[in-house]
Amino acid sequence: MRLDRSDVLIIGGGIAGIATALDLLEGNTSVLLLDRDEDGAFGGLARESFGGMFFVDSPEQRRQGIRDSSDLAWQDWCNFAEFGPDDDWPKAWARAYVERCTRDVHGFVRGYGVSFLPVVNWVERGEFRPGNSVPRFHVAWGTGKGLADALITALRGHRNAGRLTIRCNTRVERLLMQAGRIDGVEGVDENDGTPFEARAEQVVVAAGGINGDLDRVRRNWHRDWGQPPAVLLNGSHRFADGRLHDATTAVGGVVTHLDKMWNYAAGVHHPRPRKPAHGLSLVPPRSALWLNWQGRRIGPQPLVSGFDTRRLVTDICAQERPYSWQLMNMRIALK
Amino acid sequence: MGFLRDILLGNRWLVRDMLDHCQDFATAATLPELVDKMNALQGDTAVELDLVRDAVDRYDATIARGPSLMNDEQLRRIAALRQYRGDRIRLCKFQPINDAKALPLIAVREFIISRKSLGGIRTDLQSRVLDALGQPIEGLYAVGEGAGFGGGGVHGLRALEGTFLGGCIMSGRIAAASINGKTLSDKTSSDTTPSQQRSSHKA
Repeated sequence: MRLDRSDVLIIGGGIAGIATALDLLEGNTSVLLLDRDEDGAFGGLARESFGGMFFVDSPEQRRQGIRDSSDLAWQDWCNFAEFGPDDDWPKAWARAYVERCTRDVHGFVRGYGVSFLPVVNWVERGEFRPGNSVPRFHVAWGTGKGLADALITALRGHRNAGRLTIRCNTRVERLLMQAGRIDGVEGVDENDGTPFEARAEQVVVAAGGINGDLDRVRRNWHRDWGQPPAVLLNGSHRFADGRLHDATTAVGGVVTHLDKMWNYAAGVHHPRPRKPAHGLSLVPPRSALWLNWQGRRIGPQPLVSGFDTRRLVTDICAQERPYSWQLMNMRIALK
Repeated sequence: MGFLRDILLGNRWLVRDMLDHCQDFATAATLPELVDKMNALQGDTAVELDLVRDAVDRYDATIARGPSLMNDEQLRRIAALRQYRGDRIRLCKFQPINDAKALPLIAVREFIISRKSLGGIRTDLQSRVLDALGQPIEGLYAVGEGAGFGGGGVHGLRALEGTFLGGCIMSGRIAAASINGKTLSDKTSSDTTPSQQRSSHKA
């Protein structure tokens, strides 16, 4: 069995694992980064994302004359989140995010050459509850792929890149604990099916969510949405299957709020599927009529995107058949 | 999903690709023909022409009455959205559905699509994984979507959007800072902090 050693071991080469690795290398720490995907797919789900990033009081907002503050963003965040009484850590993180995102995220990605479209987009304005009071959605040039490419280039070309090992096609199964301390992982090299073990001082789980496993999504389906739909498409990462959630639970870690998910209402079958139920999420045109399975316009409050994404999902799931039709014409589609 | 961005920006080729190759798209010159195709796609007769025609006729008639009489919530929203320039460029001005100059008609069948987990592994503000007693497990961190973007569910029930990539980066950087033995705010590596950008922009 192969045995690796490093200061830090990161499980998952998505944008979170990559950002972690970059800062660790800055601190001269040695890093082993394990990813389950192929080398050519390194970067995770971010590569397929829109590349929008929420910032507060950013240079782009200021140039547009948009006045924003962390207090306003915090108020909006809490309106949307509907935090429960036990949500101390989520609340603390949310507060930290609105206060620090512009300095610690915007500043960070700008430092690696990422820039943003000059006009900030305005999404999730809120419908029955207030949402973003001002535009905050900053779209990176080159979308999520541009962002991922910039950070991956920085990682591979880092002055301390000699302290970094990236190993792909590697599935981590278990976290190893010794004397109450995590000190490594074990799993399988999927190239040849051989087991491996890796040891490190610290282990960082950066393996994504559970939404790539539709069975797990169904098991955790939110009660607001009734029964999970018979046809549910997969717009998540195929390896975001919750394996590391289980491994974390097995060593005593706590997993919470899995019934809360960010699903979209306008999924279509991918014309060139690369996984079962592979879907594409359309940005629903606002000038289209949104009809239910019978062709009846959903209402009385019509479905219009850009206000409350979750409400679109909730209303469609409340129909007798939980899918919908959008009716438009070529001019609307092209716009 | 670069294709979506391109649809927003009006990319004719990509709309064509979806029309030709995606099983959930139907096109036709008239509503009866479109409804037939929708039902063929579904393999039953669930879609009722009368309902579709009623929805389209009412909506188009409302538009025809002119902006001062547009008593429809969707049209009110479109009017409001067009006040912001980020939306105006991507939004038709009160476009009727059944419009000879805008054919063909297009129907898209849309399913719920799984995307992101808002919940996850509970972490403290150093991205350390917490146990049931609220104590950090030594040597173990969780970041990004696995940690519900921080704290096991930073968004609560709904996201303001754009917080996913940002949450991945921030929680990852916080873990690295903790492991490196400092706090993130010690770092002044970037010459692009907002205050500096502001002053350089003024100059």
